[in-house]
Amino acid sequence: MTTNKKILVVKRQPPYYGTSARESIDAVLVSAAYDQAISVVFTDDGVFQLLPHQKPSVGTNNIQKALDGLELYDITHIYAVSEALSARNIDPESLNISLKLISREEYANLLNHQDVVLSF
Amino acid sequence: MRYTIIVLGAPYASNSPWSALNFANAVLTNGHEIYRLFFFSEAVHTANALSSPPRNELDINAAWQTFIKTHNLDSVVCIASALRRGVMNKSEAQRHEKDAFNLLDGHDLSGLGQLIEASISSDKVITFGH
Repeated sequence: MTTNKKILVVKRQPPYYGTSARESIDAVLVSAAYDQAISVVFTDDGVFQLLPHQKPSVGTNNIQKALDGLELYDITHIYAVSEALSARNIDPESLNISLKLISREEYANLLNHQDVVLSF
Repeated sequence: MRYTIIVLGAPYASNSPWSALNFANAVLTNGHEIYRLFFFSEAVHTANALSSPPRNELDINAAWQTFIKTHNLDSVVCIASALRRGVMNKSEAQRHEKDAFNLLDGHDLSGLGQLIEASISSDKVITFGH
């Protein structure tokens, strides 16, 4: 694929509620495999995916494993919206993957600079 | 302009497939092109051939099928999403040793690569969420 587009995947759903959290990561990984300039933002209830020490019930795949795939695929442009974290009382120092915190305003700016936004 | 339309919500659980169809109609009516339709996550139920709503209700699956066939559109149903939700074509049914198959004619099962390729090849990508 010769065209290189800026693709942003927005993660807004909590983990373990349906398949959104896992399936959206698949979309991120495929974008990377197609050599696109991929970024990921966690916002709204999507920030619950970032909680450390998750212990889902037997038979449920831990979202942490899927999130670790982001690092494996060299995906570095990962963000979380600060207001979404604070609204849910989540300590930004204790997240399970390394990412950059952005304000709501910076998020709006990020959206404006994308070619494609895929919201899950 | 060239559009790709992504649908995530299921018929009856969400208005997503219905909104997306109205939008898709408007895209063509206004002289634009639809490059691909991509049914992902719960929206794969839009491609279930066995859906049989009562006669006085909108048959959204049939409406999408008519739209796709009338305009000769490329409609892709995500195979991973479809298999886990029990929507499959004949060859997948055989592969998984199931007694039946139900993929609605007009749709093709394929991978997420089709979604990314469409996103790259289109001017606008619109997602209709859950």
